[in-house]
Amino acid sequence: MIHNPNSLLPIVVFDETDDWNSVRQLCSEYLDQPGQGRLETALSANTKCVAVEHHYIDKDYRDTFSNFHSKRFSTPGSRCVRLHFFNRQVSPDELKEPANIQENYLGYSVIRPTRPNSIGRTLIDFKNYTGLGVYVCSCKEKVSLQGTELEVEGFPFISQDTDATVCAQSALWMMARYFSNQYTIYPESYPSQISNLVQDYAVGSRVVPADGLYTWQLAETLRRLGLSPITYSRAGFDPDTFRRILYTYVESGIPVLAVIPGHVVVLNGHSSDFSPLAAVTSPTFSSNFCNGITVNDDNHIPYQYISETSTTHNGINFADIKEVVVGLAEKVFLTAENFEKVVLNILDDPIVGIKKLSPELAKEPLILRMFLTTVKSYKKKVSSRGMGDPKVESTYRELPLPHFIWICELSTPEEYGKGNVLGEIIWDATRNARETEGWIAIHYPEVLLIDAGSSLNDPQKLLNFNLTLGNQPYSMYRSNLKEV
Amino acid sequence: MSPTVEIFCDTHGGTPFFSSSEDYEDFRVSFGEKLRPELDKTREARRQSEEASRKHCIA
Repeated sequence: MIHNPNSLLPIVVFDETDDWNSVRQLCSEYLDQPGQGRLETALSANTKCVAVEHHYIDKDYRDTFSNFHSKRFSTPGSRCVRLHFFNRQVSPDELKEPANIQENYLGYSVIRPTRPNSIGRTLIDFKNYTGLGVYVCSCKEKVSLQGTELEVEGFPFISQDTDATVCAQSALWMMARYFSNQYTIYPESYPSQISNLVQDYAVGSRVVPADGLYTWQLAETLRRLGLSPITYSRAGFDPDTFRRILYTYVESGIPVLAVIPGHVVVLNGHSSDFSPLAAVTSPTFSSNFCNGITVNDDNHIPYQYISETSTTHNGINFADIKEVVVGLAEKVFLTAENFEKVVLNILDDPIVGIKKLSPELAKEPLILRMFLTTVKSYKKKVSSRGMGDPKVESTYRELPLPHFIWICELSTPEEYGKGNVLGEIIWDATRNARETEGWIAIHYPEVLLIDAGSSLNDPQKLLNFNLTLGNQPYSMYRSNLKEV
Repeated sequence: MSPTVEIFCDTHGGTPFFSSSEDYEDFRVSFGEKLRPELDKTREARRQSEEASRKHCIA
């Protein structure tokens, strides 16, 4: 059934007579067969109804139209169609009130009048995917559907139009849009702005039509967007370290650009298999249990999944990833691989290590979970988590801390399997790894060591607090990623 | 120790972890020295990564 088929907002309700083909027929100048195929693959499991918003003026498509398509002899249209997906049948009257339909709204996809790829800016809500056991970077957007304001949470997606943008610009756009949606410090950037960010380096070649970028140009684009990029390559790091670094940044809620031969995708989440926990006999990073990564590949659909053994729809396997480019916030000077060295150095230290200070942790193999977070987010959860001891909770709440902190949570296989930890090491992300002044806290079940001096902008003053409650597990910190 | 640190210690308790400034200094130096070779390795790995990044063209 199609409500108001000749209006500017027909609504296709999937039943015996109407389906995805009906959607395409309503906007055939925009949505082509391959585009329909992609949407079906991504959404057919849950979508029961599609609203077709005609004459949609899309900010990103308008940008590429103005800066590229309008300069051609034969031009595509300047407007788009925007499709809105719902997981139940919706009537035109229901669309007027957000409370009626917010829970059923699965997101939107802007359909461009471009070929070969018509799928434009897209944000599919995680409601479309449930019980997958993955943790994904997410951001929220407000969507106005003829005045009805809806909210959608997901990770931005766009496909390349193969002229103004190819995979490099599309991947950069996805990263940039995530950061600008998530953090107000980053401005919203449009495709041609992204392309132009490296025009200084297009010496002797064109910026548009886009021919592609080198990995270092990806990093340079992120830098010009206000991030501090770091590149990691399999050429420099052994496979385990490479994997661990990649995981740590994703675990920190930082999507990464993953370069495979001739292509680049965005890695934005992960899943884990904890069945090997029982067999752990030595200190183990939580990244060891990671069994898959979620991927936004502009050549297909969002939220694909790759592992060591499985591949995306385009045949991408984890081993294909040769390099990753990470965009860190400007003030994060300490990198993941260096924080890892700090952690291992501390745990093994004869004065502050676990053998000396924590018989509880020394008697079992440790599970180490590393991530970066903001102090605002971390402190928000301190009281609800309890931190194993009221002294730890009150100290963390009251002590001034830097904007960005690296955390290594400490746990045992049994407690980690329950989602609990027994302590943590907190380090100042604005410090050099060699400086002990980066020390914020070392928390073992028996003792809390903090640097009251550096926190209060004084010379380092390490204080010891004996904790009386002993081995009290508490929930691990979860805020950087959304569980789907 | 500055007044604010003193106030923090008075309010929250806690005892100095190192009994003398010499012990603290020894720890600080040895901490940095033990890390140095590891950090040199990661710096070299990052340099090789930057070099590799100039070779891959993505289209």
